[in-house]
Amino acid sequence: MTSVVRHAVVGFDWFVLVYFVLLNSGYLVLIAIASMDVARWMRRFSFAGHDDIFANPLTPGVSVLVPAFNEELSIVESAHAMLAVKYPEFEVIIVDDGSTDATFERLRTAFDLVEVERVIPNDVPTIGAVRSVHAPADGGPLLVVRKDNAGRRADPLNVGLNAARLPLVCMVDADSLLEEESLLRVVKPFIDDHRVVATGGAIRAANGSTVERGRVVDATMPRSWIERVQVLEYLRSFLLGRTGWSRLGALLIISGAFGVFRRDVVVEVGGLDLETLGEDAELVTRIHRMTSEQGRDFRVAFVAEPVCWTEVPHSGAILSRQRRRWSQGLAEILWKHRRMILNPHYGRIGLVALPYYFLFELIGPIVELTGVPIVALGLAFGLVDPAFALVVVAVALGYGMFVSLSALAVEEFSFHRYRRWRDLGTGILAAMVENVGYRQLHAWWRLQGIWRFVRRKETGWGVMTRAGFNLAAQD
Amino acid sequence: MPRILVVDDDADIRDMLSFKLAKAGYEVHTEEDGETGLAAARELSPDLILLDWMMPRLTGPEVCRELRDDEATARVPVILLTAKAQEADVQRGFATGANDYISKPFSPRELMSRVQALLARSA
Amino acid sequence: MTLASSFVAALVAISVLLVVLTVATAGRKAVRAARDRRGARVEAAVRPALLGYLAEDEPDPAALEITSRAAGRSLEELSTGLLTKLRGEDRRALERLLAAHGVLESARERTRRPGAVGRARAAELLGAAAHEPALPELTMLLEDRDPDVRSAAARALGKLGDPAAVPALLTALEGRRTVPAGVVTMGLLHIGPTAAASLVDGLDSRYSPAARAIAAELLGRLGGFQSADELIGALRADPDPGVRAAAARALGRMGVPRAVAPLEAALIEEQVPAVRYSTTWALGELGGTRGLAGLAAALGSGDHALARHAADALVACGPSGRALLERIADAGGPGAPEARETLGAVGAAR
Repeated sequence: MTSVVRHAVVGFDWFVLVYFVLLNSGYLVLIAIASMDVARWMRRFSFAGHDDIFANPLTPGVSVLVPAFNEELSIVESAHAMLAVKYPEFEVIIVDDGSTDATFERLRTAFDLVEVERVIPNDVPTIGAVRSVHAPADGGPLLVVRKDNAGRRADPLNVGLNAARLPLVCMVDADSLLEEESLLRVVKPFIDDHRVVATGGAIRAANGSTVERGRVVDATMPRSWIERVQVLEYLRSFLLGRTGWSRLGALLIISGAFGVFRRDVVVEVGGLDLETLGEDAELVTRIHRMTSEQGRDFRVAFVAEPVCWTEVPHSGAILSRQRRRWSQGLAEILWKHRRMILNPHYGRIGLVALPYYFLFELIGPIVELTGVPIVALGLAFGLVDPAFALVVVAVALGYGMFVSLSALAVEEFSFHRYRRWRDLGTGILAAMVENVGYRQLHAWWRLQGIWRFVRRKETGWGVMTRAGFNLAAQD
Repeated sequence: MPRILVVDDDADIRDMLSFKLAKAGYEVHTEEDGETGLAAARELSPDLILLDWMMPRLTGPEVCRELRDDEATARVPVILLTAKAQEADVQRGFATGANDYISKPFSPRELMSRVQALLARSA
Repeated sequence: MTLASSFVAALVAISVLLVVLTVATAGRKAVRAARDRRGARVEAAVRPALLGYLAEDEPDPAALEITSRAAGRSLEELSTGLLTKLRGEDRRALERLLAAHGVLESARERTRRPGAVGRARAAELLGAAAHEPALPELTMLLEDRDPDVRSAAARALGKLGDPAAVPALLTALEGRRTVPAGVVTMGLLHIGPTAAASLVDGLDSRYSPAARAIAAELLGRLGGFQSADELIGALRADPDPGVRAAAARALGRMGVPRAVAPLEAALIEEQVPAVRYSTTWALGELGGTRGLAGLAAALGSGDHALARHAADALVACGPSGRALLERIADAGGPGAPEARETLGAVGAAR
C-alpha cells in the first residue's frame, strides 16, 4: 500500500519538477526573444524617429476612449494629461458610465462643457442608453458622453467606439498615465506595416514614482513589498513576456489599460464582448480568430518602450479582487474560443499561445498550490528522497527567481528607467520575494477566479449580472 | 547691460543661445522648463525672454499668458521659439501675448537681430 | 543516488547562475555609469569649444582643435544634433567646420564598413549635414542588411533634398529589404516640391500599391499640379482602393477644377467606403456649386459616416452648400441629423 502511495507521490513530484522547469524555461525563452528585440530598439537613431511620425501626413487620427465610473478624484487631471498628448490628430472621448459621484460635474466645470448634438450610430451593440453628449464651449478635441450604467465594463467602451470618428481607437483606463509620446510610439507599427490591426503598449507600475500633471517624471521603486513585487511582475510578464509573444506572432493579451485598434476591424468583429470580464483580451482573440477563419493577413504588435503607467493595487484586498477577475476572464476566453486550442487552422495562436495559457495560467495555479506542500508531506513521511525533494523545491522557487532577475537585468540593460542603485537593490530583493510567498498567494486567487467561472457556468447568466454590477461599482 | 532669460528644455539650444548672447554682451540666464522659467522671470525681471513652446510642466504659451496676466511682467518682450509652424499655432502664439515668433530650425543670427530690434524698441 | 546527485549539481548550477546574473547586472550598471562619466568628460571639453566657435561672427575652422578619436566622435555626435536645429549662416559655418576636419569624408567611408551602428550613425550625420556628394553611398545603404541602417539612409536621403533619390525610395517600400512606409513618406516630404516631377512616375503600375498610394498622397501635398491628369486616371482606373482614395484627396487638396466631374462619377460608382469618404472630402475642397448634387445624394444615402463627410463637405462648399444643408436639416428624413450636427458645430465656431 505504502509503495503505491510512494510511487504516486514521487510521480507527482516529478510532474511538479517538470512543470516548473517548463514554466520557467518558457519564460526565459520569451525573455530572451524579447531582449533581442529590445536590444535592437536600443540602438536608437532617434533624432528623427517620433518627431517624424508627428509630422507625417500618413499618421492616422486616434480616438482615445476613456470609460469612467466614479472617478471624481482624478478625472480632470487625467483628461488634461490626455489632451496634452503629443499627436497630430486625435479626439478624447470620456464615457461617463452613469457615475453616481461628481465625475461629470468636475468635468463640466473644468472644461466649460455644453450639450451638443452628435449622431452616434449603432456600429456595435451596446446596452446602456446614451443620455447626452457634451463638448467644451470653445471647442477642443474633447467629448463627454453620458450614459446609463449597464453593469458591464465593456459597455462604455462600445459606446465610445460608436461615437469615435477617427480611423484608430485607443482604449485607456481613466486612471492610467500616458507618456507624452505614448500615442506616437504605439501608432508607429500601424504606419510601418499596413497589416497591423491592433497594438498594445507596455504597462508599468507607477506606484512610488513622481507624477507631475499626469506624467511620470521620475521612476522609483514603491515602498511596500506588495507593490514592489508587482513592479517585477509587470516587468516580466507584461513588458517582456508580451514582447516575446509579439515577436513569435502570437500576441494574445493587450492589456486593458492601453491598446490601440483599427476601428473598422473592431466594428467588423462586433466590438467588445459585453459578457466577458477580460473584454480586451477576448477582442484580440476574436481578431486572431477572424484572421485565421477568413484568411486575412492581420497582425497584432506590441510596443516595448514603456508607454503607459498605472497605479497597481496597494492592498491585498484590491489586488486579490483584480487577479480573480483576470483569471475568471481568461477562463471565459479559453472556454469561448476552445475550438481554437491545439487547432492548426488557427496558426500559432491556436497551437502555441492558447495552450500555453491553458496550461500555465489555468492549470498552473493548481500545481503551484499543491506542488510544494505535497513534496513537503512526502518528505515528512519519508516517501521521497530528501535530495530530490530539495531539488524540486529549489527548481520551483530558485529557477523562478532566476527568471525574475533576468527580467530585471533586461530592464537595467535597456530601458533603464530606474536610475538609482537603491532601486536596483530593491528590485533584486523583490525578485526573491515574488517567488516565495507572492506567487503562491497569486495562485490561490487565480484558483478562486477559475472556480467562479465554473460556478457561473453552472448557475447561468443571472448571477453574473449582479456580480458584474458589483464589480463595476466597487472598482 | 540688458538681461535676457532663455527658457528651453533642449540643452543644445539653451547653451548655443547663451554663448551667442553672452558674446554679444548680454547678461544671460537659462532655465529648462516652464515652471522654473516663470519663477525666474518674476525674480530676475529680464529685459527680454526667449521662450520655447513645447516644454514639460508649463508650455511656452502658458508661461506667456501668466507673464501677461501679471502686472510686473506684462510688458517684457517675449520671443517664442518652436517647431510648430502652422498658421493656427502662429496665431495662438501671438494671442498669448508673444511679441515675436521664430520657428525651428532657426538661424541664431536672425534671432540675434530680432533680439536687438525688440530691445531697441522697448528701451 | 547518482540521479539525485546530478540534480544537486543542477541546484548548485542554478544558485551560481543567480549570483552571476546579479553580479552581471550590477556590473553592467557600473560600466554604464563609468562610460557615461567618461563620455561626459570628453563632451564637456568639446561642447564649449564647438559652441564658442558657432558664437563667433567670423568662425575660423582651424581654431577648433580635435586632439583625440573620442573627441572626434563627440564632435560628430554633437554636430548631428545641432545641425538639425540650425539653419542659415550658422549652419553653414558648422558644415565648414566638419568639412575642414574631414568628418564628412570619413562618414562616407564608414558607410561601407562592417558595424551596423557605425553605418547608421554615418548616414544620420550625412543627412543632417545635407552632404550632397554622399548621394551614391546613401542610395546604396537603402538596401543594407540592417533595417535600422536602411531607415537612417532613407531619412538622410530626404534631408539631402535631391529628387534623384525618389525612385529608389519608392522601390524600397517592397521587396526583401524594405524601409517602413512612414520613413519613406517623411523622406520624400523632406525632399520637397522638387520631388513632384519624379513622383508622377510613382503612379505607374510597375510600383507597388503602397508606393502608388504614397506617390498620389504626396503629389497632393507637394503641389504636383502638372500631374492632375495622371491623378484623375488613377482615380478612375487604379485597381487598389488606397491609391484611388489618395488620388481623390490629392485632387481636392490641389484644387483642380476639372476633377469635379470624375470625382462625382467616382462618388456614384465606388463601393469601397474609404474611397467614397475621400471623394466626398475632395468635392468639398473644390467648392463651388458643381459638386452639390452628388454631395446631397451622399448625405441622404443612409450610410452614417458618408453622410457626415458629405455634411462637412457641403459646409466647405460655401454659402450655397450651407443653404442646401439647412434645407435638408429642416426637411427631416435621411441626412437630417448629420446636417443638424454639422450646422450646430459651425454655429458654435462662430
